[in-house]
Amino acid sequence: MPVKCSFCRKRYERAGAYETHLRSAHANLDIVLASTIRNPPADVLTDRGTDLSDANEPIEHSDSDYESDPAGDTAGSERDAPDDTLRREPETEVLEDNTYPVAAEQEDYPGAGEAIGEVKEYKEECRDLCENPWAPFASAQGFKLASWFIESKVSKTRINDYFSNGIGNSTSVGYSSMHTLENLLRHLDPYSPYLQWLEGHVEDGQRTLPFFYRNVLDCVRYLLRQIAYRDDLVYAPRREYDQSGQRIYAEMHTADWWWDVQVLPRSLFYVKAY
Amino acid sequence: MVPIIGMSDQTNLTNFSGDKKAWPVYMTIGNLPSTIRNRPGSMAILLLGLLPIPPKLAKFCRADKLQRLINADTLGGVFELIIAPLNGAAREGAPIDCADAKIPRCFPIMSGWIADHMENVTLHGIKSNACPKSEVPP
Repeated sequence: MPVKCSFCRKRYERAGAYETHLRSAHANLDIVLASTIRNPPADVLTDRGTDLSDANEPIEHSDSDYESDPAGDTAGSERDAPDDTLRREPETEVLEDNTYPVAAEQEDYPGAGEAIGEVKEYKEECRDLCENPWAPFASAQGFKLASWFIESKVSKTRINDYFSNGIGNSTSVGYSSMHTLENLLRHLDPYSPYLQWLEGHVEDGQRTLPFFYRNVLDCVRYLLRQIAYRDDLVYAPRREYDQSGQRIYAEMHTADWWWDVQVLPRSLFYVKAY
Repeated sequence: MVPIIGMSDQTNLTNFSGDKKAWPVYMTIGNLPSTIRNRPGSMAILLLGLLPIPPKLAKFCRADKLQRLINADTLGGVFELIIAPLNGAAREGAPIDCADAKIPRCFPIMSGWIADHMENVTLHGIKSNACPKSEVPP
């Protein structure tokens, strides 16, 4: 079973090769983060001095996926091409055909998924991520210990024991009890404010029942904001054909529904979509 | 465009006693490729809400017909409330911050709902031997 590198998109058949790849290409997670960010803030790279830019070089070369990117808002149309072909059977070559009808594209959508603005805090976020990848934890050790605690389901009292018995050194990890650890965990997800729970009450004739829900729009915001999904998000419908001109239906955006709705004038949009 | 895919199913929390049920509603977006969306570790599916469980009905009880109607109306009202933020956004579009630092105008649309047959029956308010997709009479 091939292993996919979680930092770049290379695949490895054997664990040994993957390990050497990790050790050579992703020796320093700091650098990996910097290379993952497609448009790293220039001052971050210059701040870090020459060693980073030197070390960055081989990664960018090995990272064919990012290199081939047009680095912009083409809405994942051409961007996903190499990846998509990989995922399907290799013997049927897939030809991308981006024949968007121009009128439809410009009619209701300023070019499907085109940006109407820039996220202001993005640069700061990137810089924070580069400078302190372990935030809100003080160090890599603190983060690793916490993730080990949680993944191995250590109970709260045992975690408290761990620190109170003096087994663990609280100064190097940055927290000294379950309470302080929980405080850190609360800040772990920077977009958690999107996922606020709301409470509603309904009367059903006999009694009032409480129920809980989240704002759908904020959930969408949360998902679209995740950096982890950035290179896979698709904003535009696409028609795919194979070599003999046959239409390929694979993902949701390659089917007709998305296209049909996208092309609709906005007044009909709502009606058709439901 | 942001197609929203919803999922819901009523589920028993206790097996032999207590008769506790939960009715979770989940959501995800169609912008993610399905290989990523459906991967258990990708965390792409969010819990959208927990619906109120209607009081238990005695089986074959005619007097509860009204109660059934009220339950159906309640469910409709709850869904209206949950979907309400989409009303304006689906028509006019909403600027949403995206991970690539761009702000496209997004049209979040309810595009699919994944549910089993009995769930569909409850949600659509149809007879349980009717088809939720087509107009074939039961």
